[in-house]
Amino acid sequence: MADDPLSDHELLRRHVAGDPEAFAEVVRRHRDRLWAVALRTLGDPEDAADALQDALLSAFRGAASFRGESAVTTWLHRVVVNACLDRVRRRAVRPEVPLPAETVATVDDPFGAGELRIDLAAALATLAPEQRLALLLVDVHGWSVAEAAEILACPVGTVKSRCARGRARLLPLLQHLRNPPSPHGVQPREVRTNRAASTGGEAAT
Amino acid sequence: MTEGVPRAGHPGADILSARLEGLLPHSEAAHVDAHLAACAACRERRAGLVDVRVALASLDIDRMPDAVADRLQAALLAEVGEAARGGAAPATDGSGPAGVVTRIRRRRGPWLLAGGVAAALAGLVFVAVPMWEATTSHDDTTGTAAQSTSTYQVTASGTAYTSADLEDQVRRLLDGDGAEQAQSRVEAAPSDDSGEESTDGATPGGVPTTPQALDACVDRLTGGAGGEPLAIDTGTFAGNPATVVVLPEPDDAGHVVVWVVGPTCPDEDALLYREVMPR
Repeated sequence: MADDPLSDHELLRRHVAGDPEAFAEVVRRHRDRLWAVALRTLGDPEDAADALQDALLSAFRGAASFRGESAVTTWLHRVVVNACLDRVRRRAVRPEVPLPAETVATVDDPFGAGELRIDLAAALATLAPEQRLALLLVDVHGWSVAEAAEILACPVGTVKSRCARGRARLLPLLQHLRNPPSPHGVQPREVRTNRAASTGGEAAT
Repeated sequence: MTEGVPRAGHPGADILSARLEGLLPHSEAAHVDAHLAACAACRERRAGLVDVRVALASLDIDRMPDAVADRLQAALLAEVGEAARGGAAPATDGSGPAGVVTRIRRRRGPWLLAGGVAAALAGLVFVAVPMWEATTSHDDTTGTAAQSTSTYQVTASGTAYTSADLEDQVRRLLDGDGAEQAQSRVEAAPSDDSGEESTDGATPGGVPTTPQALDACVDRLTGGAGGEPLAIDTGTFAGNPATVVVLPEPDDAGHVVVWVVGPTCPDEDALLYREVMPR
């Protein structure tokens, strides 16, 4: 659409100066990534939409305090991540934690790349939110570790170790999918055990 | 469930992963490296960790669903309205760089449509539903659809507008492709000047319910900057009744401003969506 050459910084400056559409334009540019972060962090689309809206409205109002030493998109991500983690914490107080049932279930076609993608995404959902966020930002979205550290408001080393641990946890899944077990080997549904264990019901095996 | 719990003597996946990330203290790293040099199975697992990264990088980034995008835009627009009304946001001045800015401010006095719109729409088979007369115009009350009479036309295509398709949908609207549809959907639409009848009710879709409201609405949308609607069409937006108002972009003849408004326009919360697009 309007192929606007204005930088994010310039748009934000205009927003602060009263331009009624500058902020919406910034959001439009980054909405998919922001959405992906919210959705993967919270699991539930409804929650993700709520968190995103809260976060962006507060960014809208607080834009004047944006110092401009970081990228606008980094700042927006940070606001969204905070809103999401707040929700995760609030939700943790309540007993029911319905993370996406999604597709963790069974591996019908361990050879299919599509399956791999789906199961990897689902496995990602079984990680602790902080770990998941680190992997999401660095490995999936391609942020540098330094940028992710800024978004997550934690030291670079913390991001690295979260990523390292997260990848280690995903390794068995990947190997499992790539080298399907021998007939009397691991059951496919073992993929699910993380989830089942963490929600209390060890369903099978 | 710690993965890669090793057979005795083999570093776990956590360790290998930390090694890859450069997180191990020097002495421990050297120890792990020595093991890796001698152990094909652990080298295999280390390669698997790299594959995990590659696989993660191949994941698609979820696209924001249109419904969420629409809702977000609406929330931001409402916030803009809030700021404008409460004066919370710093006022715009004219000194900014060449403005893409359309200010939302109220203007007193009725918005008067010139005959230019009729000209703009000439040749299109729009069915006017209803064909309202602007509140102040020439004193001739006959309402013949001559150039001197200030009217604007509202089509009722019933299009389900979405932010994702808006550009195409508006283009079709401006090209008049929707006219046939509009005609077929609106039966018994008076093609002559029966403005009085149609004001009373049966305004399809989300059009403001009185000519005055529509006037005020358009006035609101143009921010008093003038500009005659190129098209007004009723349909739905994100499942709700809505009216699409296409205005010229004051600062750029090559673009149009498209507003999507709800039935209560000119109220703040009726401003659902706005987009500037190439003509």
